[in-house]
Amino acid sequence: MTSDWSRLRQLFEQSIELEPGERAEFLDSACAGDGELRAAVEQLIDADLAAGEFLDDPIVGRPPALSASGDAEHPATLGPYRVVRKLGQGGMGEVYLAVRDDPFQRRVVVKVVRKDLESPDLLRRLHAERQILAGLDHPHIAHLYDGGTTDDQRPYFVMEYVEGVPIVRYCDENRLSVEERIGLFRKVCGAVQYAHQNLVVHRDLKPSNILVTAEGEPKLLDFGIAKVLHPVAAPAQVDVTATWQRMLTPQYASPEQVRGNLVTTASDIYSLGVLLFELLTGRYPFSFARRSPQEIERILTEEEPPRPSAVVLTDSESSGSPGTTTLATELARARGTPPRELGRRLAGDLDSIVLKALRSAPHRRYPSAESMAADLERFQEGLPVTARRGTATYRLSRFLSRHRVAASMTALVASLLIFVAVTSFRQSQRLAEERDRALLEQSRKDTVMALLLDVLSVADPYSEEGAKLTVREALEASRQPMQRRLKDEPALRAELLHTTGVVLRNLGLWNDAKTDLEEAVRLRRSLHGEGHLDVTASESALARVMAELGEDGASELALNAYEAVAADPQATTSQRLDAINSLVSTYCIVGDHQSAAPFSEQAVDLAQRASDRNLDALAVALYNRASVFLKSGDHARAAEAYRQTLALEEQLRGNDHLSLATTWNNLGSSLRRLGDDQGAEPAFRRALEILSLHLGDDHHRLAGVMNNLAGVVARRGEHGEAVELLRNARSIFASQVGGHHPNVLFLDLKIAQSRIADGEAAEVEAELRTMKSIWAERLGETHRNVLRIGRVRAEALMNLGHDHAAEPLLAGYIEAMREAGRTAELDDATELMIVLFERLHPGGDFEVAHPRRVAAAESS
Amino acid sequence: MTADVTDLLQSWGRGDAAALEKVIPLVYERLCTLASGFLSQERKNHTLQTAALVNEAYLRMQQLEHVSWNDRAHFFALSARFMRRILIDHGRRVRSDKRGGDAPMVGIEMAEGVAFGRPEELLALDQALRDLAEHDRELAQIVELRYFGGLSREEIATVLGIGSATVTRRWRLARAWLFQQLKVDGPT
Repeated sequence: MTSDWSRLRQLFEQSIELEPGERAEFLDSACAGDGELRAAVEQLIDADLAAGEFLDDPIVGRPPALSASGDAEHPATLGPYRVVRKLGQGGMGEVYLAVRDDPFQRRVVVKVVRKDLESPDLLRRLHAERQILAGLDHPHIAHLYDGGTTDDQRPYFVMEYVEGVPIVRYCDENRLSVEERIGLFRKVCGAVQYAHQNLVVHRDLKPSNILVTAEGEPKLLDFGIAKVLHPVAAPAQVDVTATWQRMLTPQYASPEQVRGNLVTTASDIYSLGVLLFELLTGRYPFSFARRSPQEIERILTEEEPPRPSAVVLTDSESSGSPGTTTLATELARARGTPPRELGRRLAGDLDSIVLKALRSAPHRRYPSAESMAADLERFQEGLPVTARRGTATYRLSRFLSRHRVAASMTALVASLLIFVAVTSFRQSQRLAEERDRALLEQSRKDTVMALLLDVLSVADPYSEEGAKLTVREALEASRQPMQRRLKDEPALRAELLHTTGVVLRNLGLWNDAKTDLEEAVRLRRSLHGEGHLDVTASESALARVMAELGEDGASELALNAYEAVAADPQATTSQRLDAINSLVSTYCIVGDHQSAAPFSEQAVDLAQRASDRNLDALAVALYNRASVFLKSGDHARAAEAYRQTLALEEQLRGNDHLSLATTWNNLGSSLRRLGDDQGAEPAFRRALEILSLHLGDDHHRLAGVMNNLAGVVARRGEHGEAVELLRNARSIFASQVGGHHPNVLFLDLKIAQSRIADGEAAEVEAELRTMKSIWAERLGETHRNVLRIGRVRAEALMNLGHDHAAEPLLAGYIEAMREAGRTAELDDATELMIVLFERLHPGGDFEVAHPRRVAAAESS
Repeated sequence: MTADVTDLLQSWGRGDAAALEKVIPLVYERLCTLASGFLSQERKNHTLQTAALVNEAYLRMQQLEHVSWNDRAHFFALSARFMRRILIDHGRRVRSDKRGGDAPMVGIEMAEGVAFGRPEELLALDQALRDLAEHDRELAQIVELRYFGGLSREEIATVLGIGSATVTRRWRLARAWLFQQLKVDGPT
């Protein structure tokens, strides 16, 4: 850093000694290809040029404020005006009080543009604008009388002289009530509206430009002057100091102004919003103190201003800090209202009005100053204000843009938004009246958006619990408001429940998903009757969740739903695809690949023939077909099908999409079963990578992959890593689905096997016997995982040397696997049986003793 | 007070380092007293008066006689630091209990004539100066001496023990750097 800096300093000092024309060549050779250094030097040289008089006047010694008042030198006359005294020194030049040399002796303010600002461009703009500005004739706008050039060719403006105080100070000093402040503010709006109608934008509205006279009438100064001085295409060096100083107090500037974007009437509306905020609360919407310009820009773009009522209430409640209490009390007193009362007065409508004017997107603000004033009038008359319409939608969109919401949250929100759009549309189609439709759509949309906000304000993805938990919490929190808000909207509630159910399912929160989907099914059945497409959609979704939870009846439910859809002539291709894909998924999850097989082919076929090339559905269908191959033991075709799926998914969703994790995992499984451990291990690791990227390290979906990886790793002889993976997997899985899920048993058995290998066979054998009785009760004697307990016990017994005790256990297991057609397990157990046989009958012939077992093993 | 400070400064000029230690609190205290007295007279429109008050205090200090030019320069250097501190402290206070904060009375851009009229601006400059000091202490010092102390180029050169041409070059660099840090593109 230091050496970079001294180099930079050296180059800067050398460069400024050179003529501008010589600098480029000097820097070329001095920087010798270091583009970064060169850019830094050049930026500093530009800044040196642009800095103008920046910091030239010491803050002490010669303060301009002191020398500028009273007896400072000034010209005796300016055109036909006799200068009385200098009023001040502005960024654009000097300001004088003058009197017109005629019988009326009218007092005016003359602003003379600084010498260095003058340019042919400026003069041209001045002439062009002067006509327009002089045409502004409004009781609340200080009149622009005249303009001209001084003897030394400096342009000047002549304006109405206004004796008054800045509006904020006026309100505070006179302790104007909220009502009175609004009244005054509405007059300001009237003036701004008038100017806007005459195509003049103020661009620099701030309290110092809005004076209130002794009669209590506001007067707006300097309309349109900013545009003359700072046109869109102004050269950079024009009045940089003033610009810089102005922009160092960007309290009233709109986000687009700070960014240097196009300034329109909407920018004035924003400034009016800041002014109203300040008039009501005594504060600015944002604090820019000690912020860099970049930070200010970011704040204006990303942050949402606080509600005025909240600002007032916070001030009054934080009595712990004497400073703020005083401020709050003072604020309220200045408005002739006790603090709490003031907060209540502002809450709701006034909050909405102020915040609408302060929206960061120009088109979302009030379309005109008049409409803002009209809303304030409605507020004063106790009528509903327009600002509150669509507030929820607006706040929601702000919320989303502000938080880079975690992937799962985005999924949730996106689904819900799509749902809202679809629902509003669907419902509205049934309404004949155009007007009613619009109204209903609006109110319904607002209802749902408000609901979403309730949900989202709980579901802050940055809370410590992490995204997964907060989604669940959020949805739990939403149940109450959902019941309340959607009491009379059963169809909407069903739609919402269906959507959240699907989202929860995708997040792996199966129990919660089941609750929502069951309720959706129940509601929809009572609304539409059995077999309706909405009903079957929820049923299909529910079936998959039931399958995940290992519950009975999942396949039947999925099949019934599919058959209803297949028989319905009104069902669309994508509805048909959803139903059939769900059916195949359900079969796959419960392990019934034989039933799944024909449907999976049908699904791929349907997706490929779909007129709209429904690639997402095709990806699901391809994936399902691959899974059917895998479950049928056709690992070669499965691996190929998974690769095909991966190719399509990567093309559709990119390489890191969450959905690819499962595909990678299953590809790994297929390869492993083909004996290709070398191919399988990276596939599993890739799956883990993607999962933890999206879901964190303790999501249930990692459990299965960890188990698979543990298998490969163990075969490579890395026992330590394998046990660790398995234990992680078990704890994740059990906390997810509860300790009674069959897969928990499966993992317990894997851990048991590792422990047997680690010399804990005796303890494990004892535990397995207890395990057997417990799990047989839960899952039944014939569940494949319960049967597997016998196989692992046999392994333990063999390890302990109790080969005779092991033999019947292993034989029973092999028989059961053969009957169930589970070739992989059969294969594996038969190998173990051969070992056992050879130990029990040294020199004996296994084939003679167990012909059926050998035949079965060979045919697999 | 004047006499004390003068004596101490002269001792310091003769090489008594401890004298400086003693002079700092004296000067600072005095400036703060002046500041609070000034502020209590008039509660409104703080900012303008802050500049005036510091200026006044400073002028009084400048009237010190019997101090060699060399010592004076060093004294001013010290004062510059105090000015900065007082102004910043004051800026923070004003910011924290600000209500509306509308400096100019005339209504027409007067605020812009007052260098760093707003506490925010002053605080931003202070922060930028700290950042600059991280790169280059000397540059930040030059700005402090010139802007907060009102020292001339020659005085700065004396305080820092460098040539006055060097002061000019470095001042330009410091100013350019600060300008770059604080500048915002103007409204279009």
